[in-house]
This record gives sequence, C-alpha cells and structure tokens, in this order.
Amino acid sequence: MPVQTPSLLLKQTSDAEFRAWGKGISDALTAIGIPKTADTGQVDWTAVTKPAAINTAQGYEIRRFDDALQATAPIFFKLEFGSGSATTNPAIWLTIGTATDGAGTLTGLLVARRQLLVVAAAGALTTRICGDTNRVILAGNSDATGATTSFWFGIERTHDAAGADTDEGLLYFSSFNAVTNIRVGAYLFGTGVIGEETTFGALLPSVGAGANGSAVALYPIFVSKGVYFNPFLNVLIAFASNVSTGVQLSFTYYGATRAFLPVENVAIVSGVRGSVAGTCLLMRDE
Amino acid sequence: MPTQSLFLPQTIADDAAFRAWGQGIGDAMVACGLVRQNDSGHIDWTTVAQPLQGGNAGWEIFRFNDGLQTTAPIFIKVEWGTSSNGVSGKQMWITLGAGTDGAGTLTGWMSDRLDLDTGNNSGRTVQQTLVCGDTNRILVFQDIGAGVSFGIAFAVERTHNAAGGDTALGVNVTTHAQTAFDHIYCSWAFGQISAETAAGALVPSTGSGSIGSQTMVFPIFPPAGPYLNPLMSLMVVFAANVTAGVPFQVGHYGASRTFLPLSTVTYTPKVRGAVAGLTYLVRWE
Repeated sequence: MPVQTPSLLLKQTSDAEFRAWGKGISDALTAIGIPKTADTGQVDWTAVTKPAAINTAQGYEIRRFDDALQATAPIFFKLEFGSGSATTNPAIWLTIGTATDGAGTLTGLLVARRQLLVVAAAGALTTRICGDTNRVILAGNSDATGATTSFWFGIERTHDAAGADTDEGLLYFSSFNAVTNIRVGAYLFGTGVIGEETTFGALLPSVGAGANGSAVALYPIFVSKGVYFNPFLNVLIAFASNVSTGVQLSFTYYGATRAFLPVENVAIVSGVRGSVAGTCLLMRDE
Repeated sequence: MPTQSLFLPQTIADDAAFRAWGQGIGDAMVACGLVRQNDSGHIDWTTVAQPLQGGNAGWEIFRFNDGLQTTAPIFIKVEWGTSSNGVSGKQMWITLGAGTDGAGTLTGWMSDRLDLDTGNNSGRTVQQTLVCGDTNRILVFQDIGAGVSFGIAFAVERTHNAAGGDTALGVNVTTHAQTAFDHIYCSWAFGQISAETAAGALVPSTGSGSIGSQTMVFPIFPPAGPYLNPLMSLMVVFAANVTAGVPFQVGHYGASRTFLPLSTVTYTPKVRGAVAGLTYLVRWE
C-alpha cells in the first residue's frame, strides 16, 4: 500500500517508546514496498533499548528499492535510529548508496550519513510515509504545529521527460526542524553526489501568491548536474494559501493525473530560492 | 536595423554631450523599429540644455509599430536627465502606458515610473551602448564597459504564447540600474500586475551550469499569478560559460536565436537566491 499514516509518538522516555516509533517507521517502509535487505546486525525491535547518550544510534536498517532497475541500478539506504540533542529526543540518520557489505555498511560512493533530529513530541502525531518499490517519502510528525518535532526525507530515481525512471541516478532531499537544514541533491551512478543545495530549486515569484482566478501555480523542484535533471516526481512546492493542508489534490504532472497531499508547512518547512515565504510541500499521495 | 552598437558619451560634460546621448539612443530605438510620437512638448534635441544635478530635461514618447498596436497599444515614455549623484552622470525615467493625450501625458493604464540613475560619471567620455529591437520590442543596455555604477538598461517586449508569438495579453518591462533590477509585468487591460526586484530565473546555487558540452541558459519568467511564458529578449547565464561580446545561437521558443553575452564589468544580473557569477544574454537579432 503506497500511503502509510501511522500515528507515532516521536519521543523516547522508555525502551517501549523508542521501539514504538522506530518500528512504526520500519513497518510502514515495508508496507509501501521498500524491503529490508539481508544485511546482518539490523535492529531487533523487540530487544533494542533506548539510547543512553545523546546523538547516539542504537540500531539500523538497510532498505533497498525493489523495482526492475534495482538489478542494474541498485539503490540502498541505511536508516539508523537513536537520539538527538537529548536522550529523549528521537533522531534518525540517513545514508544513501548503491551497495552494502552485507553487514550493515553501505559501500562505494555515498550520499553522506546525515542526522535528522527533532525535539520530543508531546503526543502522537501522524507520520506520513508514501512510496512504492522505486520511491519513498517520509514526513515525520507531518501535522505538527511546529517544525521542531518533524523530520522528512525523500528518495526517487531520476526520470525522463515522460516521468519514467532512468538508471542515471537518484534525487534526494532531507531536512528537519528549520529551513536552514534542507539538503536537496542528486546522486549519479559512478559519480556520486552532485548539485546538492540548501534550498529547493523551485522558481517561485517574489510577489503575489501564484494564483490568478482559478489558475493556481504549482512548482516543480529541479536539481542541477550542470544542466537540470527532469524534476522530482514525488514532491513539489505550492503556496500554502492556494491549497488545503491534508486535503488531497490531483493534477496533471509528467503527463498523467497524480495525487498529492499538501503537508502542514509549519511542520514540514520548505525553503526555496529567494526565501519566498508561505510555501508548503506537496507530497505524492498514491 | 534590429541591432545598433553605438558609442555615446558616458560623461555628460556639457549640452552637446547630453544631446548626443539622449538623441543617440532615441534615434537608435527608431532605427530598430519603434515610432517616435510627435506629442507636443517633447524634448528638442537641438536646443535642450544639460539639466542641473538630478534634473529632468524633457521627454519623448515612443510606441510599438506592430500588428497588435491597434488593439493592444504600447507607449513608452522616456524622460532624460542627469544623475542625482552628479551632473556628469545620467538619469532616465521609463513609464509604459496604453495611450497618450498628444501632449506628453500617458493615458489608460500606466506602469510605475521607473527611475534609472547612474553614479556621477567622470573620466571616460565615450562608451558602447547596445540597442536591439523591432516594431514590437526594444532593448537598451548603456555604457556596457563603464563599470557597475554607470550601467542603466531597459527592455520592453510583449507577452508571448508558448510558440513565441506575441499576444495582446500584456507587456513586460525590465530595467537594470547600477545594482538594482526591476521587472514589471503589465496586462494590457489592467496595467501593472507585478513588480519584482530579482529576475525570475531558476539558477542553481551550486555548480557551474554546464556539464560536458551542455550549457544551461536561464529564461526569465514574468509572474502573473502563475508564470507567463518567459522573456524573449533577455536571459541569464553563468559568465564562465560564455564569451562576452561574442554572439551565439540559443534554441529558444522552438527556434535558433542569436544572443549576445554581456561582460560583467557593468551589469550583473540579480536572480532569486542571489546566485553569483552570472551575466545577461541579450537578444541580438
């Protein structure tokens, strides 16, 4: 099922709480079609204990794409689960690569390991995970009233102009908390990371709100390798005033009707070039 | 002739220099295809005196002369003066409108009166100015080798459909004065709709805008709620990927078009995100 919306408490004052949010994410990734590999040493959600120190990873999973291109253009990502700036504050670490050693280490050229850390939430909120065998987006605490308890990332393959996946590489983004933590880029097979930026490459106007009567603009996100890749298929930017958070909308994109969900922009902040305000992420919702 | 390369006074030293500058540009605009209106009270280039510092010596009104001019008329009022920073510098004001009263006042909708002001010029007396246009567009980049403090430029073109054909929807005016950029979109029916101070071009904040033999050029999009089709007369490019002063062909709106990269001595484009290392590509045909 491509869309998973577990209600998770992103907090870890006990082993049970730590296991609950980590396993919640783990189960959702499996359900959308992103399986774990056979790497040894992966986290045991029945036995792992909460971190005893800050900024400490307690366990990991290695996930892989499971599409037809995986045999020739493999994509793996490592998710580590642990603590952030306090032992009770959750954190995940994301590393992306194209091979593993079978014992939990990604090998070769990597999208470098990056910690996404949050402040512990007061209560359970919706973590939204959407994907398929060839893509994943995770928005933790996607409906929070602030960004301090949220982290989010997305990985998808590069596309041709018709939206079909190609074996050129992958597009990724990750962030947490503030606009300044955005990282968005591409990874070329054989070259590694290219074009990483700290704002989304979407061209929004500096005046107005992107609407004129019934015409509303939505903004694709581009990454450059020197020339632009075709844009992300699974995430776009909109002016928040033109959409309704949590209400799915469908539109033609890459030549087909596709469903997207605007996520709460105070939780999942979307920094774009020129610091245009009032934006939100549209997350693929199918 | 759609392209004019002029050598005009950079330093406004006296009446003669002021007249040579203003009339030179005005005549070039006419040579490109615009029509100089004969409104009463227009500036007389044979008698006008160099104004005092920051002064306005007079005006001219130009109009498009294309097939859309009867149904979607575009008038451009150019006022000529000296810089507020010093009497040896230049200042001009650009206003767009839908008509005139025959006595120098624009009628119908109007854009903002855009003020283009240089620093106080001294030293070099002559500089190269580029003028390119036709009956439906005009682009003027002045003193292109003079330095950042002395560059003033403007470009006016109609809106376009996806194939590049002009439409009666509206008009875009782009100006650059020293380090300030303005882009204004005016719909023909309602006048000024949007005004931005950074070009609507999506330029990556990392990398060089090229890979192998491929080089990106970046169109400028006017906002009108959703974006309109991009400008045809002006784009931006990473300066390292082009040779200033050497025209080249760019596939734009489905056709091969000639563009001229400017040097960055005087004009450095401002784009969203303050990306550095850019230069303008001006249509040169």
